[in-house]
Amino acid sequence: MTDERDDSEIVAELLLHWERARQGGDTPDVDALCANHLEFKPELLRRIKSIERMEGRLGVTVSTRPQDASDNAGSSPPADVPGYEIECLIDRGGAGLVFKAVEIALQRTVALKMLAHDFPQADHLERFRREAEAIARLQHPNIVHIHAIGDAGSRPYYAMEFIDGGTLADQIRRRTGSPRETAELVSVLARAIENAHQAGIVHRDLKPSNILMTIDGTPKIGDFGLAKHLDVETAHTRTGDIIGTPAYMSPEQAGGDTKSTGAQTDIHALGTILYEMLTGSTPFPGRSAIHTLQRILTEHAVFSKRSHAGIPQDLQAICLKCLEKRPQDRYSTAADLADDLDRFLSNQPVTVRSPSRLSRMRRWVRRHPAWSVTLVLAVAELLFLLSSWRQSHAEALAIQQRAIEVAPQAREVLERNCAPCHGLKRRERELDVLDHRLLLDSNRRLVVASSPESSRLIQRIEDGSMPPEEDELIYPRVSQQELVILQDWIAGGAPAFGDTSSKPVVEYSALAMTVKQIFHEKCYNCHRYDVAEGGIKILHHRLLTDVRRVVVPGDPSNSELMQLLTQQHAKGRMPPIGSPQLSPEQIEDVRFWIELGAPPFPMGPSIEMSNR
Amino acid sequence: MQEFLASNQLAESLKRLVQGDANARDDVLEYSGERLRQLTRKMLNDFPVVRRWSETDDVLQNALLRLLNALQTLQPANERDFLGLAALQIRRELIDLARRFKGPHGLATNHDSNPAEDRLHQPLTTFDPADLAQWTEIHEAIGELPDAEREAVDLIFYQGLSQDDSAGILGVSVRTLQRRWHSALVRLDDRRTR
Ligand code: HEC
Ligand code: HEC
Repeated sequence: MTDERDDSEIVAELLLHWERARQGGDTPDVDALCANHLEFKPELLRRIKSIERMEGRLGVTVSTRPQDASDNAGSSPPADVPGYEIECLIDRGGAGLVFKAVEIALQRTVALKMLAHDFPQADHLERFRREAEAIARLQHPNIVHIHAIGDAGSRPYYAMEFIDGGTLADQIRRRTGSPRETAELVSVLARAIENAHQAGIVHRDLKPSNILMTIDGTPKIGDFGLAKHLDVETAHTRTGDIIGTPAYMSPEQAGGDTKSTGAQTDIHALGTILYEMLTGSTPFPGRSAIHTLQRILTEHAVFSKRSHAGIPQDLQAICLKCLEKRPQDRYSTAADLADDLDRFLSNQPVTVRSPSRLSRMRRWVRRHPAWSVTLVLAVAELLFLLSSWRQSHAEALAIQQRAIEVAPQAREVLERNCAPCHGLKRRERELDVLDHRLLLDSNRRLVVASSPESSRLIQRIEDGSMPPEEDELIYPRVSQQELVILQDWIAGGAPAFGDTSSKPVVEYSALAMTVKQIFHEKCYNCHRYDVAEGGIKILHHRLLTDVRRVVVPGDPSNSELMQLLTQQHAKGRMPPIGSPQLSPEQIEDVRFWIELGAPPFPMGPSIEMSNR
Repeated sequence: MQEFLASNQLAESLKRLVQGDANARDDVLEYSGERLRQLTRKMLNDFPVVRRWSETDDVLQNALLRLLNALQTLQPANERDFLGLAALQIRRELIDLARRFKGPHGLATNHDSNPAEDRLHQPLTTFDPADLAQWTEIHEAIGELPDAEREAVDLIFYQGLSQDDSAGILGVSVRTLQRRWHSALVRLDDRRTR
């Protein structure tokens, strides 16, 4: 056996020589490499073949230098298109190639859009044509008209109106419109989209660069659906493009939830366009595609009180209604959106959110302009401003008041969760969490008064690193309930704790301890802090209830966790088939725990369970 | 939109991440997302039908977001741990993607969008799932390689690093790394042809 291993070592060594040769740009000469070891030649050749085959399969080009991440988009030159005379290429990019061309028979200028590559199979062509025909039947002054569909060789193309005024994207880049202009334009777009929806066609990729503007400023929506067929081919060839232009995506698209993309998806896009035209920026600009996607999924669009003060409240409300996260919360049809925009334009009340007293008054005045009214309005406005100042002042007071109230509780939370390691007995990192002065020491930024998010105390709890993960069996992580107390205490200026010892924020729950034990015994091996694969840290209470929301406190039937535990078929079942299963009593314990509001896991070791 | 991180900047960002710089996390996440995207394309490239089918994007996006969420919760102790865990997640997503696109119960054949859509978006044709099955096998086989070899594949294949950078991160010489890479590939190929 030793011999065999030595042999293998020699071949491995020869392979290194071969590697050096090929990376040096030479064609490795296997015979020369094996000059002294001819008996190894067959094995060496076999391995080289394996390596080359696998590298080819994996698509890895080996080099010691960093690999080039970019891919080149190869696109062949345009074929002749019978019946048209091609003048020039006017656009190439995500959507294949677009040529300016003359339709010879009618002597009219058209835009010819075609795939940069060939469709390999006849039935694809057929499908493409059927879809294109459906769109060509849409006849609407604000939808780019498709004149003809055909194929040159095996390359499908369609000929459409040639529009010369650039796109809405160009226009936005130049300037933001007035609120009225914007409302008018989006209303027109909404009516056109409604027309398509009526015909069963959803656009799904509405964005300013797909809206063409004629010289006289009429918008025309292009790239209906067809874009998809053409895009996919080239969209993937540029870095980052697989996610297209995510700025205009709806949350359901960003989340990959194709089942719920539909008419409401287009309404969301109209909302995004409206927002961008009003403010000059899309609602969720990101540093990168992925950043934007994450923001679309998690953040709510807002108008800034200060910098967007000039945008009428009603228009803001209309826009935000389009941008609702859940499709069912948006306008139910594009026509409803257009109607509301038109109401705004004619100074009538819109259907969304009852407008503020002030704006209602303003609108009334606009319809009944008169001196006296203006005067009344001025007074009212003053009163209004005064009351809103009072309100914000009252809010600040309330926040401070709340902080004073929760200060003893904040102390209790810190004492219970952190003092065991950051207290008098044990002082990790010279941190005593009950030493108020030390906490507020500005050098350490442990507690930054009025700013929970910059307080390191909060940061370390939120990122799950305190108490230390590896101690999670004994020191559970802080629950949402407790975290909120700490945040409120800091938000209100982190007042002195007061010396009364309050009752625990989280009462000890025997049931929660039982559940902790069940999780420890049946789930922990795959869902502990240092196993990345399971995806969820099962003893991280806040993760379960608030971050990932697999547990809905008080509502077992809507808790994903219960669904996983009681799943009949193997797919997605927890624990997976083959692992020790929960007994019916244990499942009932978990269910009951959730029903009682899923109290946080208590401190202390979970004891190995005996035969339950 | 900014360009994605190049692999040589990755090491730099990882270092900052380990030191606790939260901004570095975004860079690193982006890099991993981009790798997943490239690898998916590589995998699905062999299947013009899938590639051209619009839902590829959605499925990939899903995978991307899951990857990012998983990575976001990691507290890497060092670069090597992070890259290893990220590679593991990427591998898991790729296996998942390959399974989804694989018939007869895969996405490619069993499709449930709304009826009005069906006419337009049925899979363009049914196709032979054998190749995607092979991809699944490859990813799974990589997961079963001896640790040292798997780490080499993680860095070079899943993370797209150069041999130099990979060796640096693993703290071994380039020759050792090459040795592991060769031996991993031979093992994988043997498994496939066996
Ligand atoms: C099981 C012991 C343990 C518990 C319980 C614990 N910590 Fe720590 N903490 C440590 C250790 C060890 C360190 C140093 C290592 C580190 O920073 O990760 C530390 C460091 C910290 C630091 C950084 C201090 C500095 O200035 O560098 C903060 C902040 C912190 N802990 C906050 C908390 C808070 C808040 C809690 C309660 C929710 C808590 N810890 C509970 C062990 C503990
Ligand atoms: C043998 C390992 C194993 C055991 C034991 C196990 N799980 Fe899992 N679990 C996994 C894996 C792997 C996944 C990820 C599956 C996926 O994403 O497809 C998972 C996923 C989950 C998820 C979904 C996480 C998410 O990302 O949404 C939950 C919740 C879950 N498990 C709960 C449990 C509970 C509760 C138990 C114990 C009663 C348990 N698991 C036991 C391996 C395990």
